Amino acid sequence: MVMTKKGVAAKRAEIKNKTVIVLLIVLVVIAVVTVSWIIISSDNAPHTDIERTGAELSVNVLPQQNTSSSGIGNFPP
Amino acid sequence: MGTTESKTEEKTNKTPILKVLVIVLLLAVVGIFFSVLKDKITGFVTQGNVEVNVQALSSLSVNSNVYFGNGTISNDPANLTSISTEEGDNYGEFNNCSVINGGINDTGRDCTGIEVENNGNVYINVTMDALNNVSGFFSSQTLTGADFTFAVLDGNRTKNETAMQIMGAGNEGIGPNNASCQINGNTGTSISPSGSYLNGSWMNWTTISTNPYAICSNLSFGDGNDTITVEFNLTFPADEPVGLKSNSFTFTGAQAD
Repeated sequence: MVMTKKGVAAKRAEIKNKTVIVLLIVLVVIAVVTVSWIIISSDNAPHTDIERTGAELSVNVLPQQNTSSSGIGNFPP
Repeated sequence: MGTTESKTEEKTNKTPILKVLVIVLLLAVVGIFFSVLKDKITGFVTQGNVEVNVQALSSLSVNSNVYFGNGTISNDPANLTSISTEEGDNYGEFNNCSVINGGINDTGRDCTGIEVENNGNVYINVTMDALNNVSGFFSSQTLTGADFTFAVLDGNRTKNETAMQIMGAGNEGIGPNNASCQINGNTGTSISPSGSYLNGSWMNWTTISTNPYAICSNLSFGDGNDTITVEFNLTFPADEPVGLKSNSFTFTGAQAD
């Protein structure tokens, strides 16, 4: 069966329209999913944020001063 | 005639496409609307009522470190050197912890405890982790008499924040009436280790370990009563070598249940 030129054009237009419709349906599905996700994620569920911060403790031990002395003599001032 | 039919057919074909396009645009607008409102304070007017949803913020800050400064220690096992953020003189060599901005040869009260503040807008439980325990902190071979302990007090490091305690309960043991670290309704716990006196006359000194320690189960928020202070006490073993000793503490805040 041989299609006329007009018939071929009509068939192409029909395929084109169907493709566009399928694409639009896909977009609709994506949009619905996105909106649903936004609504669900914007609820008042308690937040479990955890925050950490630090601090230091330091002490410096110095050597003992040796103050003992013996003998008699002249010591520098 | 043929042209008119063709146009009508084309129009009929385009109608469902336009309908779907309008639905998509409508959903996109709704999506943008919710996106803009997300993570912000929201308000909806319904029958004259305004509903405002303020998001919970768990946040804590550490406002001070502990600097005991420099000093010599006793090498007599019968008379070991102890220093504390709750002590006054600290043998006159280490930093003075008795007064604010004062003390001989001391430019300030540098050896206060570590002050932890809840600067969020929800009650939080606070956990403390130490990097080193007693054996990790000291370099002594024997560790005879070595001690590294902590205690927790309600209020800030200068002890003048906790309004309820200043008004009359200042000398009483820390208990259920804490203004900052309050009782957690679920666990029944509050400040820990508990029982220390604000005036330092008795402190529930607890040995430092590297295990996480829950120091407050329900730290309040707001400008008035939102701080606790971790105090420290050290006793040096007689054979402790000279040198700088330091320890790091990590404080974790999470929203209280």
